[in-house]
Amino acid sequence: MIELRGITNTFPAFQLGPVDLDISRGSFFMLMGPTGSGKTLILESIAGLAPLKQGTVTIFGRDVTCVRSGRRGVGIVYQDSALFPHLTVRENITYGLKWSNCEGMKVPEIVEMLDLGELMDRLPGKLSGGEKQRTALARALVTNPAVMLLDEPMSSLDPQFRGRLRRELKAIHSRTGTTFVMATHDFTDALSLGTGGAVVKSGTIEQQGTIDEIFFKPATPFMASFVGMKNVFGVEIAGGTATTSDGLEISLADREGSGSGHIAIPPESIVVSTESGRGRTSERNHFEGTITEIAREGYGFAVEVQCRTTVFSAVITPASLRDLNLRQGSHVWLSWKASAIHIF
Amino acid sequence: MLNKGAFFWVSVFSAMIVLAFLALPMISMMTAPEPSAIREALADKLVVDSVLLSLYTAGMTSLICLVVGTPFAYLLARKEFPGKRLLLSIVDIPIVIPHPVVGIAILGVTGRNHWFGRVLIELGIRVMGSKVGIIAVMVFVAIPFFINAAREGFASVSPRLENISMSLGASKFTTFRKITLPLAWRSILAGLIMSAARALSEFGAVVVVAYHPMIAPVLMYERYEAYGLKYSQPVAFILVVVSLLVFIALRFATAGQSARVEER
Repeated sequence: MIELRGITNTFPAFQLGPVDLDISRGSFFMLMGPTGSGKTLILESIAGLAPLKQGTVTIFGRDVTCVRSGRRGVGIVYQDSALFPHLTVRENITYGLKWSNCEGMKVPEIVEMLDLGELMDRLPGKLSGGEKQRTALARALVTNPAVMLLDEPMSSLDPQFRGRLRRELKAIHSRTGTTFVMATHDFTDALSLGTGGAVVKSGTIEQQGTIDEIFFKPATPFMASFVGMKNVFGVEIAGGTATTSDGLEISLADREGSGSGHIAIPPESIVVSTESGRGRTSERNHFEGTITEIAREGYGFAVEVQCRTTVFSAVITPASLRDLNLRQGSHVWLSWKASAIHIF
Repeated sequence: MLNKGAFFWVSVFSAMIVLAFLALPMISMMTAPEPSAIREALADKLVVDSVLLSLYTAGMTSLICLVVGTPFAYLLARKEFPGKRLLLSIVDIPIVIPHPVVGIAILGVTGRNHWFGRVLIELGIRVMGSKVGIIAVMVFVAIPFFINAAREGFASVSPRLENISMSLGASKFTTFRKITLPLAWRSILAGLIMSAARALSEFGAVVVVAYHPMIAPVLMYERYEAYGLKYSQPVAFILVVVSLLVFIALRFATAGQSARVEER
């Protein structure tokens, strides 16, 4: 387990922490959050590259808070590769072997695994973005680190290279068993690679858990908004009903619990129709409203419907839009199942 | 050609004025001395000694700037701390104050009336009228050029490269030697050349602290005062040629190291 306990640091325009984080050995942990939220600082704190004001860092039972970076068994790959520009690919990759006493992975093995054979005598300036990142990975892996820290390694790559690097990262992770901690704001990375994760907001951990928990059970309105949930409303809950500020009474599947809270309704769970289905469908929530906006969204359309003062967002297909003859100002009915509502 | 706007022609005209202003006196000075006068000057021990002393003191100045200024320049490039702006302003002071004032200020702290001067005398170090004095004055006027150039060079090296090096096991010192220094080398070299050039050209401050032993600019001044322009020009010619040769040799000597970094 990698354990961060109460780590803090203060910069002129930013306060990190206190951060508490638990990362299981062998996991592929995703550190998510908006740009400037402190993800890189947390990675650098684990690596011993950012000074700490308070707190402790423990890596697999060993307190490394005061251990210098090169003795922590940690490798780091930055978003911009940070290859040494005056050294060839070969010299970059073998750089760490000169200073580390550890039993590293064999260089030829890594070179083959990352398909760098043809590039060994080139300088970084002559490499593509993907080649640079593969070299940076090889350089970090060659000292056989127990923990690999990846700081948005794919953000500067073209989409076709991202897919390849993602597959390579997955393969390296399962082959080496190394614990990977990756900072990203790309949900595709998180959903395809992550086994667990945490979301950072303004220097603190907003939520930590499995990837499913983070994406499907957000704990706060920020989390709901961060993972792309729409129709997030503050409500008063009582007797299985959530009441919005303008008095809409929304039926919940769970009859227990009361007090103030938030609900989120996935737009794709909302059915849009031109007549009321109340009493004729199994959905328990039916509201009448007016379309305020229709906008293209990917392959479908996002339809904004105002019911009293609350605006709901639903997603429909182009065929539905045409068949129902929907347009701005149309009078419609919205319905959804009580079980589709996420309460937090 | 006719399509060029008025602004273009104003720019060209201003460039011609500036270039003529800079080049004409230099061309005149370099072409004025008769070959026989140059040969005569080269045979004059006083002239040769003054040029060699100029080169020696300027070389020592650059070396001191390199040793003392490099860690300071690195600190200024990497760290943010209260009072940093003030520190940067202090570093630039020698650029803005009149040069004779520098000489007088140095004499002020190295004379018998100042505790620092008394310490130097106790240690047997004489500043006035000595090579030490010349070098002290030269370092004073030249070090801002070195520190500013080296600071910009260090600032251009991403701290992430140093982070990576340290995460791979290299110590801070090794990281500086293997990563930071090679990447900032061009700026450091530029700083060395600028500080050496500044030291070679110093007259106003040196003449206050050490008229003797004579560096080339002081000898030039003396010959101009005593014998006129014609007798000072050969010394100037020799100093300029020797300085250019030294700088060109320095550039060539370090070109190999720089070329690789340039390919990045």
